Amino acid sequence: MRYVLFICNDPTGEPYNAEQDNVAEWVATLQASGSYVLGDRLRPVEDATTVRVRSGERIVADGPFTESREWIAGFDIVEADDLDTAIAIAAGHPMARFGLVEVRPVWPF
Amino acid sequence: MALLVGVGGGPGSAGASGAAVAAAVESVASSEYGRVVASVIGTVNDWAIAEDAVQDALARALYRWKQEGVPTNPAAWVTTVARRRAIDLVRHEQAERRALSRLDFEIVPDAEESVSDLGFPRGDERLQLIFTACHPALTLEARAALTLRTVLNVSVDDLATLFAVTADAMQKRLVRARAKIKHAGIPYRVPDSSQMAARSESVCEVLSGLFTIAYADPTGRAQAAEEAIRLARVCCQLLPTDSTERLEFEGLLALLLLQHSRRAARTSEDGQAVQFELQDRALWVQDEVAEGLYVLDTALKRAAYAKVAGGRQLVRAAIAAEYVRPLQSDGIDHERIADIYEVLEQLDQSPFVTLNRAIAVANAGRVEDALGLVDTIAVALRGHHLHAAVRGDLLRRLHRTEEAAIEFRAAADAAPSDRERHTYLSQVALLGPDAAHAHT
Repeated sequence: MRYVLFICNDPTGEPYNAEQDNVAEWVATLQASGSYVLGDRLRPVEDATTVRVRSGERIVADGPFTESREWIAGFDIVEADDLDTAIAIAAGHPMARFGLVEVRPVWPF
Repeated sequence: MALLVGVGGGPGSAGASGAAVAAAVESVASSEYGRVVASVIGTVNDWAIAEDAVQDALARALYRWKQEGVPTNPAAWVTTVARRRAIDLVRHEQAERRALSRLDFEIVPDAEESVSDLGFPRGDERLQLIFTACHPALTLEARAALTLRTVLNVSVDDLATLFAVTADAMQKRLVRARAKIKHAGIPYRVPDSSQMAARSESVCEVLSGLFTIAYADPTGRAQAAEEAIRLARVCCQLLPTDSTERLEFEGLLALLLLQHSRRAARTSEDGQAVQFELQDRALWVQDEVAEGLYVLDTALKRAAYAKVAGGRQLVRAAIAAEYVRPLQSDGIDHERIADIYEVLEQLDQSPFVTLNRAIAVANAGRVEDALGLVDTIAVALRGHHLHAAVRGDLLRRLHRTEEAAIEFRAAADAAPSDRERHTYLSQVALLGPDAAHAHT
């Protein structure tokens, strides 16, 4: 199965420690095992733009779609046999400690 | 067919009487349900379809067994028919999906092979069912409900009563849980030892919930209690001897055995709850008491040897044992029980723990202190019948009769069953004629 991991920051997370931010290692391990598909950081919410179309009219606004203290800082797409494997992969991401990771199964068309 | 046993018919007549068939189907639906469902899920890996297929097979059994007789192994018959039906349903669903999307992205592994396996599921596949249903990716309420529904065929109405929601809400909860297992890819297996730790606490909670069904209704669901005990025992065997999780399961097993041993003494002939002190100890099942105490003491010794603190279940069992150990109920050390409850409060922040501690404190002769404790959880337990009932009992002991009557009446109003309501109203009556007229 394919899962998208939303890498989020979270005020309740452990304080950020650059030395422990071994995300490159995490990606390398996943690439070696063949479970890594794609992933990247995202620019902060200040750079987000929200687009809506209402009654045919395009409404463009500055900022993320929802006001929240947690926001998506990056994403990774992984292949995993099942949710337990996906959870294990997510738990290994450094941001699971400094923030949180939301694991969402892909729903293919 | 050689495997069929004719019930009630002469030679050459394989048909069975309606009553015999109904009894055989009911037996599969109540005591074998979990194993049958576990086996069908093993084949199709879809909880909703598996459960539909088993219900369907049970309905067919009612009809077919009347004509053909009850098979020698009714559960195996239901399993086989349900499995075939489930495979049909999965194929049908896949065909629909292919028609919609032209994508063939899901295959049922080894479905054909499984059909030829007519035997009853080997080992205890219910454990697989339980650990999957108790996956932490599901809400605690969903885990408990799904386990009871799938393993024990507890009806949606009974589950709704147990979890204090409407039948409709319960049905939705179950549908959501089954859908999440499927869509999120929750694996159908017993977790390996590295994950066992995190998963076992959730299973303990679910098994306690299962036991509570039997405890709340001692006349109807003794079987639920026995299933909980059996499953706790299997979990104990499954875990490594030196793991702290196993200590918890042993605590749970001891607790359930000690509570279950008293089932005959807990209810009077007219269905009323009997207070612990007034229970006839001759009605306790001594084998179960002995086993419960043995399991507990062995676990406590191992915990002490390994220098680990017991978890919630072990501490709860230690409390239950304090009630059972003395030969007479006047030998119970209520101060000690209150102390152990204080330990439990550190592990379990539930207001019900504090409520129980208050009862122990009152039993130790400190009724005013107990009332103080009960008032600290008044907000958390507002409107709960047990809070009102305990408070009523404490006020009665303090001879504040009118206030006691008000509490017992509030407890009766909030009682979830007629049996409990009746018990509370009889408490009001026992307070005497003055109290009977007290009102809020």
